[in-house]
Amino acid sequence: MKKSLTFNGVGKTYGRTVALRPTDLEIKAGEFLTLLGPSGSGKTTLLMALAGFVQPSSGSILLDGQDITNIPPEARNFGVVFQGYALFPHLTVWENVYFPLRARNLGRAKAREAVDDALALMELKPYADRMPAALSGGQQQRVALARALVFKPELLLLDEPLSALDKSLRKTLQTELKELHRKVGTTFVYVTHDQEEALSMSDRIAILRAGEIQQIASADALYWRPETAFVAGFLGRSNFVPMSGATVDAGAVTALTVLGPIKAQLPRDGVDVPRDACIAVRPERIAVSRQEPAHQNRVQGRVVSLTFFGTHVELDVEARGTLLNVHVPAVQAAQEPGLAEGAEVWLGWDADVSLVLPQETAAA
Amino acid sequence: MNASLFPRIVAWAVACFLALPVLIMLPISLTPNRYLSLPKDGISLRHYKSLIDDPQWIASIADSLFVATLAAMLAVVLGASFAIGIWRRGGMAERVLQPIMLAPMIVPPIVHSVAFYKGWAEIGLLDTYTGLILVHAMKGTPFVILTVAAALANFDPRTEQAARSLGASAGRTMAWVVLPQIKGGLLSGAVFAFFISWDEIIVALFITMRQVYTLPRRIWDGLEDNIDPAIAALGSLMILATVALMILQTIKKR
Ligand SMILES: Nc1ncnc2c1ncn2[C@@H]1O[C@H](COP(=O)(O)OP(=O)(O)OP(=O)(O)O)[C@@H](O)[C@H]1O
Ligand SMILES: [Mg+2]
Repeated sequence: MKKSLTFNGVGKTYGRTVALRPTDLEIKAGEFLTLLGPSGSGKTTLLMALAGFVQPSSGSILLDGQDITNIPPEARNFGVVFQGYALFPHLTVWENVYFPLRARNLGRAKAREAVDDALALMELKPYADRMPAALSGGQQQRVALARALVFKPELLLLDEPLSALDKSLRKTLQTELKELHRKVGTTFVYVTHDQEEALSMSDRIAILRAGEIQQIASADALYWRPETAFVAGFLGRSNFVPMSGATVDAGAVTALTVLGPIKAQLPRDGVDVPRDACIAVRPERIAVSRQEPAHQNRVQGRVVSLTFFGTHVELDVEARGTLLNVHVPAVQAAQEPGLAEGAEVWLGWDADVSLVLPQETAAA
Repeated sequence: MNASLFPRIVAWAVACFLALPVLIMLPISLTPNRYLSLPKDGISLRHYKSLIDDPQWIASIADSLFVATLAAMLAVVLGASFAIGIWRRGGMAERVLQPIMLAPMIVPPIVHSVAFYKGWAEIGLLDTYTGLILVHAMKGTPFVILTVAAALANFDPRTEQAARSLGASAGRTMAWVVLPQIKGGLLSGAVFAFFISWDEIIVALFITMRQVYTLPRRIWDGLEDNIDPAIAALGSLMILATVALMILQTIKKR
């Protein structure tokens, strides 16, 4: 049942609007791939092209090497969970889940076992005879999942299935979805604009921006080795320091910035320093101390604001006219005497946590 | 006190204005006299009996039922197809075509009548069931379009996509997902179209003669000599049927 999918230059334009630029993408059999990006970045377009509801303007989609670009949605055998679930309001829960089997010409009696199994998997047995309108948001979502899984699809596509739910329910269902992915082993393609959701659930995440995949990698690779300033800023937080030039010596970059020369690194081997570049540093990778630290990069600054967040303390430090955001674990901050607003401090970090990234996409 | 009394009086006055002319039919239909009057010395069911006994009344009721039923069915098919199609396409098509399709509601019936009299005479549809059914269906179609369009406004188009992704063909999606969800609009459109035909008189006067003799036409012709209280009996029966239907409906909803 596991199939791999390939996008060959799939693009979509509506008149002059480019919803999706020609995109290459490889979806591995059995993986949990998340499409993450701001509103209007083309996530739904990509997913609907996969489902067969959007006819690509260019390129082709292959399922295990077979071209499915022109196959209608009902013949693709993909489960789709729509935003807002799109349950059939005139059918009971049981009939909703039976629907795909009925479409495959299976009689009620023959389908009973499969439907009941799917309902049991989603813990929906007690609600089988209810109408969808008489269910809570979480229950509706589980019906949508049961309906999309009951016919053992080759691929499950989910478009922001949790966005309508409150935070605590969302957390529970995230865990359930991940569990479900493990249990059924089907390939999941999941759309969200919630980065925490993406980080906690996915095997791989594709970051979309303005109809283009910026980077596709595992959660921690994206977090620690972003390849564009947009990714570094969209996933978690980053301090960006503009560069006015750089010298490269055997892979080691020394960047010229308003903070002075900064020792930095390129995101991966073999790339050149981009023409319009900046330095990106995660707030939690910057150390704060009252004495001059031993890090490769050191700057002196003054604490402008200090906010306590329980697990960590967040500082805004002004150094040579630039504001740097720094996260210090609360335990450590407590051991640092005199760490308060207005205090003069040293900031220090090493070359391997300051990345040289292309800048033109840092806006947004 | 006064402030809340006044609107109530107005409300009751309006209700009486609307209901009394209808309710007056009930006593009239029970008059023992041969002419239209309120019963004075006792009541009688003779006019109800004459309704059943007179084969002409029965024939006209049958004609009207037949024409109205087929016209309503045709109007539902045409109106629903148009409303669904236009809803799919949206945009320009909707803005331009919708008003054109609603034209039969706006064009004065007398204009229709003259036009169809001439046209049907050309092609031999005068005084035929087909001729009358076609015109009545055309008059009912705009109402079906309006009720179905209203039902579609509350329809979630994603359920249609969901059905397709779950393996249902376009045809099955229509039958299993779209039509059941707009059932209410189809039904009220059908009721509208039925009653438009049921009491349509102007076109019927022009394009029917003896072969097709609908109820409104018979009543109209009867008015010319002497008003038969059987008309009041007929009206009362229809009101009773409507009330019975409404009661049934409310009981079912409970
Ligand atoms: N049918 C359409 N006609 C014209 N433009 C469209 C159409 N569908 C999408 N677009 C445009 O394509 C772009 C991408 O849309 P898409 O729905 O894929 O975004 P998204 O990433 O899913 O956003 P969101 O997070 O808000 O759902 C948007 O600029 C949108 O306006
Ligand atoms: Mg979307």
